[in-house]
Amino acid sequence: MKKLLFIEIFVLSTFLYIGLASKAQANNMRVVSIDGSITEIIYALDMQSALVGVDTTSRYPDEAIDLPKVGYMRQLSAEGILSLNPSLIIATDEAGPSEVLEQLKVAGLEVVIIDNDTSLNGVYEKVRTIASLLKAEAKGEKIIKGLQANINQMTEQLNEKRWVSPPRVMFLLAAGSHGTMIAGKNTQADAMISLMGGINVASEFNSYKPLTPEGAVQVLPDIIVIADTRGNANVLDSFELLKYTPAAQNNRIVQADSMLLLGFGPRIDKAMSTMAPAFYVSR
Amino acid sequence: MSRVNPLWMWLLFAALLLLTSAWSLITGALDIPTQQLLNVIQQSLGWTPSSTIPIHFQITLMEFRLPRLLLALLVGAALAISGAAIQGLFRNPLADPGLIGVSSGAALGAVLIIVLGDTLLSHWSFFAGRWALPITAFIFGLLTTLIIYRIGTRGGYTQVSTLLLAGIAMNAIAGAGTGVLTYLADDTQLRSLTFWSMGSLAKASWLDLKVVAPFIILPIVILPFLSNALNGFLMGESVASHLGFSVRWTKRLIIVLTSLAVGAAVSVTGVIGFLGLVVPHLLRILVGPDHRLLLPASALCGALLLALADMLARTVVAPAELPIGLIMALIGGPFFMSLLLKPSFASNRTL
Repeated sequence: MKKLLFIEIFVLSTFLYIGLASKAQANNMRVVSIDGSITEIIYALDMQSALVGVDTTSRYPDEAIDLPKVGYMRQLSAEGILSLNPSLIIATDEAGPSEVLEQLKVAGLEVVIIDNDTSLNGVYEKVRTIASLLKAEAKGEKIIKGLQANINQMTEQLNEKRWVSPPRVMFLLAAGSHGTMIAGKNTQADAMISLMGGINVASEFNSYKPLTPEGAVQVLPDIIVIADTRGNANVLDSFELLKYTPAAQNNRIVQADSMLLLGFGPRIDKAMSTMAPAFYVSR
Repeated sequence: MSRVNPLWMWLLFAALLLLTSAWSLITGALDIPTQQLLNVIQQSLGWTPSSTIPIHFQITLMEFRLPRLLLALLVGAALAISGAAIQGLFRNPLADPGLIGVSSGAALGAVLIIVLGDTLLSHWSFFAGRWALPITAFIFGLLTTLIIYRIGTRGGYTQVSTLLLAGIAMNAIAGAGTGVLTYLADDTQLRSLTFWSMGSLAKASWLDLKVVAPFIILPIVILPFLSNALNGFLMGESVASHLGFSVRWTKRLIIVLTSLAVGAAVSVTGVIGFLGLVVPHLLRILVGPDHRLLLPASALCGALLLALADMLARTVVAPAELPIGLIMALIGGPFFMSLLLKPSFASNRTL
């Protein structure tokens, strides 16, 4: 009896899979995106009509907020996602729980997991993979070419005004009521700092830790980057001591939306150009 | 307030349980047409369905909803019957299974794996795979209970008040350990452990069910046999021993059985509070303090409530899900308070 059930499931899922595959070819896709950067890429590819659901980290562009939410990316529900009748689920390796992703595969859905590689190549690869999944390869290559051109131009400008030794950068995350955190190693912020040719002042610990004002003055950052999750954090006012850092005295402080600065999505060139002015030696 | 006739109560509970189970199988984020529901039922009974069933209906019913419902019933029964037994043992209406340390110990074990699973404990995580978290949580839960029990036992005699205080101390120590690990955790780990501490049945599968079922069913079956001894305990330990119950063994058995049941439940679902505290109180009002009725009724009512709460968890914010611990506390808190405000409550609280 049980065996029969399994055979039946197998046969049916094969049919369903064939059905899904032909559907995809007709570009009639129904996609659930489980990461903010994946959602951004789908919008950049102009394929948003295929999106039927997103996770709660998908907050850009604004229209994405109105899509059905399948919950936080590490707390997904199989039936919830299934109820959106998707043909394809795109997630990063951070998505979970793994049991739920497994259940979705058992239900015959195509689940694609993309490495969340925080590097420029990682971004290009992400765009390329999603473009090919959505049969929009040409548009994908166009986006990558555009990104590469912008970034090359920016690196040249940065190189012209190169620091004698790499600038020491403090990357802060202003997370609203959760307080202000300083970014250590193995964070997107750390990867952004190296992309810009700087050195992270907080390299002795992993992940984000609460900021202590005295510690901040002690490490004497040349540049302070503030990633803001809410939009109007006033970090300098709540941490008066920061005003005595070289960064503040030379006015090398950038503040921008955290989704832009840490997203590692199709706006990475914009993120870099936002930070660039603070990184020029002479302005 | 007159107490309900036991026979009627059993019939009522059984009917409600069946209704809730059926209701929870047919509702969910995915809308399954009635015809397809019937088809799946026919097929699982070995009959040929009248038309082919789309695979996602089949999977949703048989692989998502059914194991999940069964897990909810088991865990609900385990938490409620353990709560009733522990309250009886400690003769304290505030007691719940958390008091003997099993929940805080399990939480410490779970947080250890969530935070250090990729680094310090990577060998163990790799070796145990998806079972690393539940097994560690289970072992830590039992270990904590064991330590509390050892401290509370002098010369073979367990003193309930020492046990209580040892429980408070161990809970504080385990809580501190959890706190240190929380401090070390990164963003995603923090989210994971926050969700773990609010409980969820979303991961339920047949495999989980098979693994935890023995640990939960055994206590549910055995605990009611200790009802008479627990009734004796209500009049004090010396009376109980004069009535011919082995006080020592009753205590041991109850502590071992409840920590097994709660440890197994918590290790797969995370922390689900309130059930173990509220259900026995509610039933004491309905059926009285006699443990022969109270224990099995608690198991039934706990199963019923958790199945209902999980149905809400699955549907309220679909396609996303609410943590079930949150729902239990949201419903349980105000409900418990309304019980306390009733004038009949004070006179009925015979414990």
